[in-house]
Amino acid sequence: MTTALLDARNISRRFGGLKAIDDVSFQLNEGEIVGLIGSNGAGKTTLVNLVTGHLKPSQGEISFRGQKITGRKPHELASRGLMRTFQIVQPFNALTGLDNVAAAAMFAGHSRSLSSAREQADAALSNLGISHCRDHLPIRMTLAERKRLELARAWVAKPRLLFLDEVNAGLNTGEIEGVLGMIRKIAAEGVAIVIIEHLMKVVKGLCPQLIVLHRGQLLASGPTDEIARNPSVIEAYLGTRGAAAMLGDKS
Amino acid sequence: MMSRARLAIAITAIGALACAGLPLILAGEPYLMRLVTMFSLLLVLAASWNIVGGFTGYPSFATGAFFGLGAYVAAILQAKGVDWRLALAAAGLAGGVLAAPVGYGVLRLRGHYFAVASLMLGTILKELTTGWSDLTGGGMGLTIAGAGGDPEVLASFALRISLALAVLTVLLGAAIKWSRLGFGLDCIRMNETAAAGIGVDAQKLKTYAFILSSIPAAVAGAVYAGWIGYIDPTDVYDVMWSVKPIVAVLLGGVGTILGPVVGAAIFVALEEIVWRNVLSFSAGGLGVLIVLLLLILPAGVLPSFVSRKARS
Ligand SMILES: Nc1ncnc2c1ncn2[C@@H]1O[C@H](COP(=O)(O)OP(=O)(O)OP(=O)(O)O)[C@@H](O)[C@H]1O
Ligand SMILES: [Mg+2]
Repeated sequence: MTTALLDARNISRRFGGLKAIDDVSFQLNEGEIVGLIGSNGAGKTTLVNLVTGHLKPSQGEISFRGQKITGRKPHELASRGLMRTFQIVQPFNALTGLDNVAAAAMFAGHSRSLSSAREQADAALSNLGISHCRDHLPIRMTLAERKRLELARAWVAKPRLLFLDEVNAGLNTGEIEGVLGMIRKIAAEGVAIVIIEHLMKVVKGLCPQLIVLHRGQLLASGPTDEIARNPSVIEAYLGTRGAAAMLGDKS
Repeated sequence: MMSRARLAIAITAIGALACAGLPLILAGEPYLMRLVTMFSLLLVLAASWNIVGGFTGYPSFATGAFFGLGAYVAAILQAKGVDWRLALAAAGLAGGVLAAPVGYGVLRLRGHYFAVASLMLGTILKELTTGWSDLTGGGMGLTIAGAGGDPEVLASFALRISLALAVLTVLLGAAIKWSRLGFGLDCIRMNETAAAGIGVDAQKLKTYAFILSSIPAAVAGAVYAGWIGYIDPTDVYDVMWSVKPIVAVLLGGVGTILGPVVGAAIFVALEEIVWRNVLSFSAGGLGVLIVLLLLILPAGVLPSFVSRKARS
């Protein structure tokens, strides 16, 4: 039996009376690309926060590469290969594009020196098509550039598992195409990726597997085509913007 | 932009010149000697505060606590016949040893909560020092053994030691700012959540910064005690030892390497001008002046000057 890359068992998280995550279990395998979907407030970001150590679960166990990581700090998990991007981009505002990425190479990516961290950062910026942002402060970058910066930061950390929390939100069609290309590049290196995404077209194009959250509970998980036909998934989406995307699938 | 190596060499060279030359130049000028010694001690406190308040972005009011602790450790040891060099080292060590658990605990708090908690440290130490009178002399204070020789020799000695300590503290700041630690502190200051997300162990790095900042402050207290010759809790645990360095760094440039130097010089100069020219010295007058200066130059003198030059 091979152990899963990530194994979350019966995790729950309450905020006061609200069960933001309610008894959710799922597994992820090495190199897999999985879509994590659910309507607004379903608990997607909370789930990412729980797995990456930014929040502690009220209940449940999480293991990563066969080791228990429940309650571990985010910095430790990041340097062990469990990375995430933030739904609301979180750049270091007084660092240049290059140093934003170099910081990740240094601390999560275990670079020996600042100069080698910067070398890796340079390569990542050019791979992600934002070399022109090298010497810019984040405030001078467009949203699309800042999203790519976040991707570059995650990439140089050399993760085994990467959670992307709505990296496409707020981008236009052309920009989304660009970011998807980047995600494929990162995936091609064998990094397992979980993509939180509202656009079904994107999810279908990228993720063979889906996890569906609904009001904090795991509604369904499995191959994408099956999930898309699952009546309870369709029902849960009715009346939400997800429903429009899912049912009105024009392709 | 001056390269790092050149800046470090410049600081070392100018510092060494000052340590060697100033005591000679100022010989027979007790007033100026006192002024430069005060400046140097303020600079030590300012440069050490800058490590936590400037680089890390945690507004600490604990500087005075470490200053007072260092003063007492050195005074007590010297009273027991310990050599002054050892007493200074022990003061620094005591500062670091106290800073480790305190920093680890208090640096979990942010903003105002951190500021208030850090302020409490001095209050607590002051109470303990006053209470433990067998060891500390309590409210009566302590006279430092070894003082009381030729006042001119003592003044020259204090000047040299405090200048040297100031140079070392400025160099320590530069070494931290340019290191992996400094890079991590930068990230923590700008966005602690994002820092954790890219693998920065914020709790550890902040505690390191707090320890490194407390050591020079404690040694400064020890130097001060030896220089003044007599200490009591209200003097060395005075909250002004925490406030003045902050004002100095704000004046000079927060988070910069030379900001504390410029700021401490401005502060000492302002203080002297107000002292000399206002018949009844009013701390309020000094306060108003400082607030005005900060309004005109919100980033501090050094960054304002540098960016103006860069723009023109
Ligand atoms: N720190 C918090 N404190 C209290 N409630 C929270 C907190 N974080 C999230 N919640 C609540 O938990 C629920 C799930 O939120 P979460 O952000 O995980 O949803 P999401 O699926 O990511 O939604 P979106 O698509 O809008 O990003 C929401 O009702 C939210 O208000
Ligand atoms: Mg979310």
